[in-house]
Amino acid sequence: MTSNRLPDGVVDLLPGRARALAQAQAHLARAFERAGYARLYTPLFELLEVLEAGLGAEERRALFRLVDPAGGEVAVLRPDFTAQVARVATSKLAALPRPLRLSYEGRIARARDPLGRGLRRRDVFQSGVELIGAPGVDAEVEVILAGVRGVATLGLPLTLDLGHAQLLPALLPPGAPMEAVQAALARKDAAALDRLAPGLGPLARLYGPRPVLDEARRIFAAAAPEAHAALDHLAEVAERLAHAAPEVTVLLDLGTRRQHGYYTGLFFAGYVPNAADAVLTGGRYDDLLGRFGAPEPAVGLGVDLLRLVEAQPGEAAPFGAVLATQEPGSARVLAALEALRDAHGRAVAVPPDAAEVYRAAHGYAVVVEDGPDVF
Amino acid sequence: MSAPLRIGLPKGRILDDAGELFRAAGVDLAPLRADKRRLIHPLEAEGLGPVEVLVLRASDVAPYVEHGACAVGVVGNDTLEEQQPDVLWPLDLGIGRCRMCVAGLPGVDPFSLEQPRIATKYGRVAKAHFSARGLDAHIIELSGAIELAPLVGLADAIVDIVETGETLRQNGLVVHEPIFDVSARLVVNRAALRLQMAAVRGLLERLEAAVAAREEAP
Repeated sequence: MTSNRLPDGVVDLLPGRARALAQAQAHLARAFERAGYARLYTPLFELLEVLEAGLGAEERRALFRLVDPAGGEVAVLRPDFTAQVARVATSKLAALPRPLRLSYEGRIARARDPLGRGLRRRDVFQSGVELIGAPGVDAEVEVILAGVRGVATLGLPLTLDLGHAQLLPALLPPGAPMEAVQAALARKDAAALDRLAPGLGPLARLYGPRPVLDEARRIFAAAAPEAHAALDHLAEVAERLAHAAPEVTVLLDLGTRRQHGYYTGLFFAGYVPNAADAVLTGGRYDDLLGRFGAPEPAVGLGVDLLRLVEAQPGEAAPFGAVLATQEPGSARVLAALEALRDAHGRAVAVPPDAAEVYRAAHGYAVVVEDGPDVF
Repeated sequence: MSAPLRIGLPKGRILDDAGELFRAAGVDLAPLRADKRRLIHPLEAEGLGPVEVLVLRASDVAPYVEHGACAVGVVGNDTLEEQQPDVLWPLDLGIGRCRMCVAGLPGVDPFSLEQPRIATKYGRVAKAHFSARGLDAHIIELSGAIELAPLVGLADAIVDIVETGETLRQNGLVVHEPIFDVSARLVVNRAALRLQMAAVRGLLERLEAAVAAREEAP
């Protein structure tokens, strides 16, 4: 028994789910490429010393560390693609004209949950895009639409939540404990929020469609201009998305947690039915590239592929043909298989007495009997 | 959204106290008492659309909500602090009030011991509390009759919720130190807040009003 154990937080994906995941990955890759994002692959592990510049305190605590047997240096499994892409963009791609449109896909590893919520999945499939060297709402809407189009190809209705990283600092009374306030806000605990930062309680209830922005302007009328700039920014993004992607439900959430500490402005999360948490997260991170090289504005998003796949309703439809034949290796049958593959998507040769069992066990649609009309 | 709003409630006393608040919020839980064998209770709630109530063990409510099987639930912050689920907990319902405490025999100060043995149902809370005091407590996780542990020498002290203190007194135990106040909270699944916003928000606002009315009442 012990030889089959897996550590907590990792899974094997067996053929059904694996195929669904591969298809989701392919759909997203196509959507990202159509939108002009060029694929890039980065290493599975890197030197801690280099990568940690791009990580917040929480992310650093969650790192999967290892000692590189080849050189004795401390390496980390990548916890995130954005820091890696930032590193590449400011070094090897520094000379390319801006903006840079890059996409990635692959897996990230975490030793523990960065938000300290116990052990969750530690080996996560992600696909995403980064738009580097582009300030402003245009860039943000472009990135969001790339993600929206990608998720739409999977046929899932998306609800998008928008927030802004500058809002809380602008509203926070001097001396209020930022971390405790963020924790209360992350739970939407209005009473705790008011105790920690008097007057801030309403922030926990300011979520919903666009009118919450007007409510926020009224409640926080006397707030610093940065707060109003953030609200105006959110209004503009929501307005633009309402026109560009009317099929998406756009909500504002003025008191939500940032997924990553490096977000500096707009950030967002996408939800689909039957997924208990966000399947898509992203935001603007204008301070990150400067930690690796020349500062540049940037915005990006990542999609959690397994969560997306698990939200897809129903069983996968059977497809493909099983050719029931006594002569599996013959030239005639091999040629017939190719023809069946063209017609059915996939085909295999199986002895007649095992054909039906094979079909049912492996999710094929039909058994084709070998004979003169198999072509 | 036509999917029913699924609510997870804990068995026992909290359910009775919550019944009053939920009735004030337009969700009448009376059918739950009528049929105790039923696991899922479909209810009609004026203005909230279809509702389904699940009656669960208190320690199961947060997992049901976290994983989205229930959109909302009611659970004490003692359990939330222990389980650390990734859920929203927007509202203190003000019911089921008690305190998380360090308690034990009057002559035994667990904070003066090098490695105090602590019996508790709340291993994480206990560990964190003693760690914060610089003590590496040895946690003995039990699932009931915690008060017994110091009496028979299994532990130097206990960490548990204390309501009136009557059980402690009967066993000759005293509270050494309160850790935090406990009350039942409304918890909400993160995705449900977005995907079933009208119903979740409606329930939250009505319960908020019900809690406020209850606290204003003499």
